[in-house]
Amino acid sequence: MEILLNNICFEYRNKYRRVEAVKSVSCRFEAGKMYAIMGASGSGKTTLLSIIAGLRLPSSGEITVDGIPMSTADRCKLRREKISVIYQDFNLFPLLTVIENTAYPLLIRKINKTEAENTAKEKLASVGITDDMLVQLPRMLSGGEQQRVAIARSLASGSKIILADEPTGSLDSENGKNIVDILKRLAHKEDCCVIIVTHDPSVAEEADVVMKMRDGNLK
Amino acid sequence: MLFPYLLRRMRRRKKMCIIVGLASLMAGILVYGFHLGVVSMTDQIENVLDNSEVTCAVTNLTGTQVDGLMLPDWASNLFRETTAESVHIPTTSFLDYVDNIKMKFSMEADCLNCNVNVFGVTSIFADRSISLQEQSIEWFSGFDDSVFESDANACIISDDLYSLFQQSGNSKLELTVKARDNNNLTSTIPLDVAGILHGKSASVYCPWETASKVCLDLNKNLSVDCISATIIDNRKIEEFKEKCANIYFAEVDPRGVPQPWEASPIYESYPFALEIYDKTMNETIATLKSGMLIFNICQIVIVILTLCMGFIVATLSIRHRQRELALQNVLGCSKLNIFSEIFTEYVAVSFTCLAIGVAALALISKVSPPWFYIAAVSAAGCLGTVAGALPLILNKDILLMTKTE
Ligand SMILES: Nc1ncnc2c1ncn2[C@@H]1O[C@H](COP(=O)(O)OP(=O)(O)O)[C@@H](O)[C@H]1O
Ligand SMILES: [Mg+2]
Repeated sequence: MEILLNNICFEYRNKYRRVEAVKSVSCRFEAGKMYAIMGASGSGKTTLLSIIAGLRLPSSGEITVDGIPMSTADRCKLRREKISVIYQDFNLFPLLTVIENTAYPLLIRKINKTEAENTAKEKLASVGITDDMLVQLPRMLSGGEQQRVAIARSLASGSKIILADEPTGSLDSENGKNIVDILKRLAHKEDCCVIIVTHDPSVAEEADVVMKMRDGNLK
Repeated sequence: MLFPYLLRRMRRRKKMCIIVGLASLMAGILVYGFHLGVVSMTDQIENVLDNSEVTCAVTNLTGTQVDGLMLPDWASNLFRETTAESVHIPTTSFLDYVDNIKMKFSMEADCLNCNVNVFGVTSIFADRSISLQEQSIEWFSGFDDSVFESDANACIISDDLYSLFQQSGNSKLELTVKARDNNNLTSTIPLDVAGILHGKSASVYCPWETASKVCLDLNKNLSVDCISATIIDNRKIEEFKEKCANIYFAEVDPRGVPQPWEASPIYESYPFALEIYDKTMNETIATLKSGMLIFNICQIVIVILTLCMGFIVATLSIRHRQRELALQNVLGCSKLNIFSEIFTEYVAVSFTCLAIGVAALALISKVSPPWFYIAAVSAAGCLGTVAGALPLILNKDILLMTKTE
């Protein structure tokens, strides 16, 4: 499992201006490690993450996942099976219960409902979501719990690449540490490739590799 | 599961669903309602066509129906069983289109030492100067108006003549008819008196057949005063004009200018017109038809409004659930899948409500539904949704997670 970025550039273009959000980024991400990308706001972190997730295609350069070029791959299928993204908030469908949210990625892969919910239950337990929370709606949960449900959903879908865009951004330090610990465990025990975008140095400390992003350049 | 937990997630868009549902229900009811209007107007038109009495009459060119038009006898022949001797055999018989024909011609005669007017009529009402408010008829037993359709030697006489007739003590009325150009040429017919006409003087009404025989014997021709008839089937007025009326008669010319009329096979110098008095009926039908047109326009407007509704709802609903769509996109739903979910949602809500509205009116009215417009409303809604949703979904950024609001 590896992700290779080769001279990735990305340019936002609209009527008023052109922004080179990512400038010639080349790097490699591999399984079993947790990466932290740090940088000031506006430095292009989210853009880079969207490119890795296959949500945007680079203006130039090539990105491959396990040797398959992103530009030709079925990017939806990739996100269904291999890549998960966790955002700062709005990770869950507001009107679906915790267990339904977790089972969702399996259901869109046409996996049968009981099987999907069993997997979901198991993964929720592994991130410390108790049984009584399973049928609650996201808004009844704390921010940390919601992020854990989102992580459980990534696990349920079987993704080996977990991208997190400021996952601790709206959490207090204790809950934030809890989330980072879970992600770290996934990288080390489950052999996932975890990439965290953050500007919290205490989060970066936990990572195996720390990268700095500045004005679209990655160091 | 194609769209996992669709119903559950739809609850987030309750208002949108209610709006779509109510709008579709209204669209169904309105389209049906206007259809009911159209149906009832169609019925009324049929009714008017079935029940209006449209008459026609041979007139002069201005359309004025006057006595003493001196219509040639070919004109009267058109309205009678065509005889073999007639040179003017109509291609299509007038009798296929008209009945209740009334004709009148007049001659002068002597009777009981008086000068009298003799009228050959097919009905006493062929004389339009007779109205039962001013005149009254006293039929003798065994006689009625049908006597004028026969060739009986009978007559109705005005009351002044009747008193003379009673004084004479004769059993028959002796009528001495004079030829038009030659006062020495006369012919005498004895007639039974069938009734008295009160309110007129010096008039004798005889059956057409009886009188015309005498007239033709004396004058070799006959000039008709007036011809009128009733149209049998109001739906065939145009056909009647085309196949009969326009062949033998000119159109009424409002200026009344007599024109040489080469088109007439029989009468070259002075055309007569056959006026059909269908103006009132046509106006009634035109009013009903314009009402129908308005209803049809309303139906089209509803179809267009449904199109707009689909468009607006799709646009708003996508903006409203933008983050949810972004989440679906991140989780790996394809654009096609996301679009079909929105489309399915719209179709499910709107078709259900449309069906409810239509079914309700079908039950109440028992008139079969306007399938065309129902299909059009359904299609318009779908089209609007596609037009509203597709460009947005194909737009690059709409499916990407935006920053916290
Ligand atoms: N949709 C967009 N259209 C135009 N410019 C954008 C868009 N999204 C981000 N940008 C610009 O691209 C640059 C990088 O943004 P982003 O990747 O969101 O940075 P970060 O996540 O590090 O804060 C910024 O200058 C931002 O203004
Ligand atoms: Mg960002």
